[in-house]
Amino acid sequence: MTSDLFFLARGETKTAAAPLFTRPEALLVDRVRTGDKEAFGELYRMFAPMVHGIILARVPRDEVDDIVQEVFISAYKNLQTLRENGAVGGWLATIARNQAADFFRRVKQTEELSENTQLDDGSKTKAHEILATIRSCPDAYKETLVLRLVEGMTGPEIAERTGLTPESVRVNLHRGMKLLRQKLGIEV
Amino acid sequence: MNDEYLWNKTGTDAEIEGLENELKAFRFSADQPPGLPARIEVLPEKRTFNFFKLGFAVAFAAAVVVAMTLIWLRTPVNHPEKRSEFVKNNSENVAVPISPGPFSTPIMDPPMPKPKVINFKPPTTNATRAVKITAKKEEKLTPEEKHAYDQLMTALAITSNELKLVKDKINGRDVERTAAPDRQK
Repeated sequence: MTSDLFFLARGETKTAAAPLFTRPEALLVDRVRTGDKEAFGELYRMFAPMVHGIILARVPRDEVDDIVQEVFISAYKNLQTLRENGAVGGWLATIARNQAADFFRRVKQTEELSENTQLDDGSKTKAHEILATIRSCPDAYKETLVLRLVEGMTGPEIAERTGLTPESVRVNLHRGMKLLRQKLGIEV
Repeated sequence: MNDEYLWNKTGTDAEIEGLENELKAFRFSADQPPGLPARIEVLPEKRTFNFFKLGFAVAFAAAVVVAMTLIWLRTPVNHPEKRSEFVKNNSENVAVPISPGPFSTPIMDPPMPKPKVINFKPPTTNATRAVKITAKKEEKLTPEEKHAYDQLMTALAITSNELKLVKDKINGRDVERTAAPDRQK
């Protein structure tokens, strides 16, 4: 708590170990702005798992890959609206959440059922059950849990990619995992 | 539950590892970025049109026009109906001015007169002033006035003498003055 107040008083965030403009993603964004498509590919490989996880936590799996592509195309078209190059991770996460919300405006939620009816083997069914349980958690927990358990990212990586503080990611992971275990019926 | 494994994958936790293995099937796998437009178009920053400012300006202009129209109509000589009544009532005595309208040049007040420049003269001495006053009085006074003036001056002289005596008595010089003429006599 005291350390949090200290950082607040100094106007810094704990994730800001290095200035935003010297981060590798900031340099990549600079290159993309000049029309470098290879830099865009690197940026995609760096942030696509994070965007995929955020969308997977909300949207039926069949639609996830298409929406990931839409997120990056939209980001590419609107790159001039990004003010701070180093904040591209948080910016992409916001676009991903908005695209997921747009999806539900466009289509009805009954498509989720069609996804489940296509399952054939038992292990997939169990995986879908776990994923459905994660999706039933609050937004802050389900996003972090998907990034950790599905995408295989560590806590610090989640914080770095999404722009959240490591403390909040750690809290969300711990509480989300506790909630998930309760819902899955695993003894704590 | 091993919190350290959950946080940064140090150590082991069979339960979390089992969940990871189950959910691995959903992991992101596509490495190819989406196809981009052939031509890179760097869009200029959009200028947002501020509807609020425009609306405020229009409303303000409309309010000014309405206010000026109301003021113009409330003047009886400008209102079409009231004007006829006003002309009827005052046609014998009053010449009705025709107003040029609300947007014409307003009638200005006459300019203020310039302040007069006062030439300051230094005060004259008592002697010159007395000469001037007596000269004026001698020129203008009638005989009756001159008689009254002489009487007044005599009374003033007597009064001043009496006052001088009182002053001398207060200062203790009355004995010397009164005694001195007696000794001379």
